Amino acid sequence: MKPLVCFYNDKSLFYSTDYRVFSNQSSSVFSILEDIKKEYSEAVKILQIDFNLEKAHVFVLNTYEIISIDQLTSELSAPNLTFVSNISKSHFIKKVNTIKEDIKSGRYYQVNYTSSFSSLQETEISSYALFKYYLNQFKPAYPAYLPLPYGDILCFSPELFLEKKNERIRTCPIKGTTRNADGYASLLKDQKENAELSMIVDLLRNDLQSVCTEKVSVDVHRKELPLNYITHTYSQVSGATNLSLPMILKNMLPAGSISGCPKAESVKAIQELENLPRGFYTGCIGWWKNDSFTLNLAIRSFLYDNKKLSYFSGCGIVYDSDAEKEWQEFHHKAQHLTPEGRL
Amino acid sequence: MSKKALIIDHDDSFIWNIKFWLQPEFNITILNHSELKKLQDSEQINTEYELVIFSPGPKSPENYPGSLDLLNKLKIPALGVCLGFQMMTLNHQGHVKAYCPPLHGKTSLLHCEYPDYNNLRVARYHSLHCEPSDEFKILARSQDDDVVMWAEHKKKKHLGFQFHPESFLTEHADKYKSYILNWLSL
Repeated sequence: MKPLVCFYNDKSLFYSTDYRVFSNQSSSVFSILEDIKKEYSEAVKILQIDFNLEKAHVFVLNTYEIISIDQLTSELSAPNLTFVSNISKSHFIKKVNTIKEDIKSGRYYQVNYTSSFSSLQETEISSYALFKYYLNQFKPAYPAYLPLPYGDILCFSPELFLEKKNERIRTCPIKGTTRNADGYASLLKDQKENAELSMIVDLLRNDLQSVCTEKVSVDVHRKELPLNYITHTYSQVSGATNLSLPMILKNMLPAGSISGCPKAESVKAIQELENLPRGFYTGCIGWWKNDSFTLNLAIRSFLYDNKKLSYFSGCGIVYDSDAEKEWQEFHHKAQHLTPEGRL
Repeated sequence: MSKKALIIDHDDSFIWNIKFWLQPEFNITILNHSELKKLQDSEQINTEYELVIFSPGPKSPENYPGSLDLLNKLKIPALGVCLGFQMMTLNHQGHVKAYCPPLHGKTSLLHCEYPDYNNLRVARYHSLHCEPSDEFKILARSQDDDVVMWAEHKKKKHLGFQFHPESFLTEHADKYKSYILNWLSL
């Protein structure tokens, strides 16, 4: 079987070549999660849930190893690939301006707008070799490599959607992005970046509160998340819950930071604005055992299908967004695609 | 004894924050605005609850005719937050106008005649703003742009916040809850 890899904690990963895959057919995502909970509570499970909640895959691991990230060294020096954006600059700017008009009219406060890049040529390099190569480039906190029926997911997410240990549950939304050259200080000064994260913190307080027994708390706000390609700010909201994973996800998906605020209207707007369904992108991926789980937000991700790669990228758009800067941010998040960082 | 309150949810994403802001003094039930048409009349709400909260939400008051109608017929106290306050303004001969640039996830300091609330920082999420009629007493305005932030009807039990008292960006949220409890007891 193809290998399957998923983050476990800071420095280590689950690695397995011996697993069973379940997916929902006619039933809902949440009903398959309930079935898996009953049947395989004590097994380590790797989950993948689509953004639109139509599809979930659950890998029940028969055997696995916990390996260090350093063990997955790449034999590739640099893949010879060329990527092109699937949206033109003028079209992207038009979309941002449509969103700003919607915000002005009161339809919503923020929308996460996404598109993609595609490799121009087919590659003979395996998806797993590419995963190991890009793992070393992105150095993400929450990576995953999942072979799915329609292609392989190569995920290099820096964002924690949900972590539950015993009754404690936390979420760490990321908003606010700048080039490393400009740095954390520039993010802290920027009122637009501040508002962008603050409204998502209020949204996630709300969503987490819907599954928690006591009042949730904002433990961290606007802290620096330095990556080797860009710098973000993030916050942390936490609480205590006695609900299990299927009920928690039913209340909290799609995730706030990659949909928008208010969420229901933002999700409708995303369907109108984006040309294709997002599929696994901006859904969540992670592990689950008994009552504990850690799920990322599936961002900074590729789909490998028929020897071709697609990479997905997006930006939170608020009224103060500058369309030109958002276009640059859309590219900054994709700069590891080629060794020179050029697209 | 906690007071029974009903929140009319206008497809908002801050409902649970409002619920936990007002607990435990209020025992809160959430009802989506689309469910209002299933109610035969508002009498059920008048007898069952002590307070109805009209939630924030997207779009304009006119997009929620069922809520505007309920607000008109209500015989028990009403609390409006953001869109809810805009509904109150519209129902009482005031004006609700576009506010540009919109303010979402930003804060202002209050200018308030009550010293306890003056200079407090509050969270704003709005692209519309209220110009209430003389039927309302203005309790606070924003210091930076002089927008009505907090008002109460002079005769009816209607209290409205343009800012979001439930937001983590709002300082001393409990003070507004104390105000509501006191206002209800008068």
